Amino acid sequence: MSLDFVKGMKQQAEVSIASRKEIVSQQLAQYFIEKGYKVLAKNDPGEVTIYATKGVLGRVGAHMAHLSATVIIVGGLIGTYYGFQEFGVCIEGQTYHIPRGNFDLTIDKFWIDYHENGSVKSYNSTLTVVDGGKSVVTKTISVNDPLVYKGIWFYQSSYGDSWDQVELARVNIKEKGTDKVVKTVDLQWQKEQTVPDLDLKLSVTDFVADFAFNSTEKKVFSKTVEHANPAIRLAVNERSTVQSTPWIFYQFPDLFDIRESKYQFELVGYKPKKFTGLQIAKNPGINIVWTGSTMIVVGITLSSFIFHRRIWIKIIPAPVGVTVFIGGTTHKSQLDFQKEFRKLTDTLRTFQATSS
Amino acid sequence: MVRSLFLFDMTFWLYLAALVLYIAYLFARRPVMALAPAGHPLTDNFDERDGVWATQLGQIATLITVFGWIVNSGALFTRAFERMQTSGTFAPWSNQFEAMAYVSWAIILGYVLLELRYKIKAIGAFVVGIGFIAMGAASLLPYRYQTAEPLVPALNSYWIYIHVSITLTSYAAFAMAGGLGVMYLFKERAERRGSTSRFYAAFPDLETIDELGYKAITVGFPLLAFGIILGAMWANYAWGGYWSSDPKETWSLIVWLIYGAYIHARMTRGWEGHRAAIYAIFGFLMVVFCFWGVNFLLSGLHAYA
Repeated sequence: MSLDFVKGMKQQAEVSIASRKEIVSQQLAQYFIEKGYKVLAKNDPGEVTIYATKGVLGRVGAHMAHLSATVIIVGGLIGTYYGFQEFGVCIEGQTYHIPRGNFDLTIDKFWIDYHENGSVKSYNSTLTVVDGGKSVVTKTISVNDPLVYKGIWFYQSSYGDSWDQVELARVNIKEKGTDKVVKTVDLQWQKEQTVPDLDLKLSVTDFVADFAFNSTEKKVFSKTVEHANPAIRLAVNERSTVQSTPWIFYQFPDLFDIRESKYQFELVGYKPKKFTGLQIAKNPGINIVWTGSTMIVVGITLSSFIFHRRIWIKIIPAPVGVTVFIGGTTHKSQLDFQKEFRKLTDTLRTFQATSS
Repeated sequence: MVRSLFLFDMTFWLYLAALVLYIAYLFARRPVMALAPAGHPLTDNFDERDGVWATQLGQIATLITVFGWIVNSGALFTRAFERMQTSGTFAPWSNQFEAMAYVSWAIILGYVLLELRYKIKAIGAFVVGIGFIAMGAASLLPYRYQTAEPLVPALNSYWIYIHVSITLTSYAAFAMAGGLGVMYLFKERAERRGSTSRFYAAFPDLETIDELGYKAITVGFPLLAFGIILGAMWANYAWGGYWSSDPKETWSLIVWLIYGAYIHARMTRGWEGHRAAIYAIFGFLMVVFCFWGVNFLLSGLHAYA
């Protein structure tokens, strides 16, 4: 390292001190060590060379941040190739098989909590994992609180009105002769209810939210998930002689007529069963992604706030005392470095005062 | 509700007063030439000295700014307590209005720290200006955006404290960098024209403005990275995937990459001064779009306001 190199630095100064080069170099080294610098010094017959450096972590941080991009991409790829994301529409009381984990999941309960003003506060599902015929875990999940089992995450993702089940259906029973409502009954899903005074047994066997009929398969189905044309199938048993299973439409009350019956049935309301929407996901690359994320944050922080400073000094004996040539560089935070450098040269001048 | 809204209102007026005072301070500073008596050389740091008037104006401006910031903090605290009554969490940055008020709080805090450390008051006219604009834009929002409605279930989580506050703090840092960029261009133009106006004489030198702007970005850049990652973690916890490519996520990433490019250009290509200032302003406009535009123009998972 030549003298020109020191003089060519962005920050550079020249200080004459009435002292000996060994003393000055020792004082300087002391100063640098106190400031947390690493110091290298070489004492040649004609001159002393000092190299001081600090904040190399700033550079390490930059490399770490760049490397992290690769780590995140690797984690992302692993997640894409070996993970999955599915959506399940589940109904309370049902058990579903999870083929990817080879276990079963029971939806014990689903409910919604409300704020005082009526807006939704949270929605929750109580889930039980059944593995190998045994209940293993039970947990109530809600948004922001998933269930994890065998690396598979179950998230409370949404909810809605089911399109093929109702909880309750309200049916008006009208007498055909007088066209008067003689009774209103609330029927529970697939539960037979007797109406003794009318000698009736009723039950709701099916429901579709948007009625459609497949004529080739002779099957009724729901065209969409919207409740556009809701209908129930009512199993009617009247005086144990008349038996019928008509479809009753909410919007078209008198479409079907049971000829032998004394009564006309009208669907006047229903309470759909809520389904719980579960996001089911597995991501084996996720921890790699988080590792990469940590690296990027730590790396950028290090490289932003720690800056690598390097200072070179040559102490050359002059006719009287010594001349100290000092040059320094940093890759950022020039202002702070400038301040620090000024302080250094000021301190250097005090060496002169004390030693002379 | 009324209490916090009153305090937010007061904050707005105090910031306005502070901004006016900072601008007045710039005009009150005496031009260098007028103070140089004939035959006497200028002292080294001559242009850094203020006249009596200017000193007082500057001190009052700082006082009002600090006071406004305290009221702003009070407003956020009050709002937090109000939130606690209406919903489970109490983060006072849960909708657009509160987020804006928080951003202006962070900008002003950043400015006060900067003034304490570097003792340059002239920056106030620009940075406090941006803080004021943020607060003003918040006040212009319709009333229904300003109230503390209960949170939707997805937001009702402790993640909201940290993800939102950190992301917004990074926006504040970028806002400061943007303000300094504007200041740089003003000063540069004045220097090019050889202006001796007292207004520009009060500005710190170009290199300082440039360096401070860069510093603001080096604060904002890691914060935004951290904020985005916390968002990804929250998404992974709430929605079942760490990246959903919703407009806010995409724009945040774009903004982050823009500032990443800035830092690289500065490190390796020596992009300083004029180009860096323009770039900082451009980056800040992108932040504004990410913060405001996305919420109002594009729908997505972040459209809560």
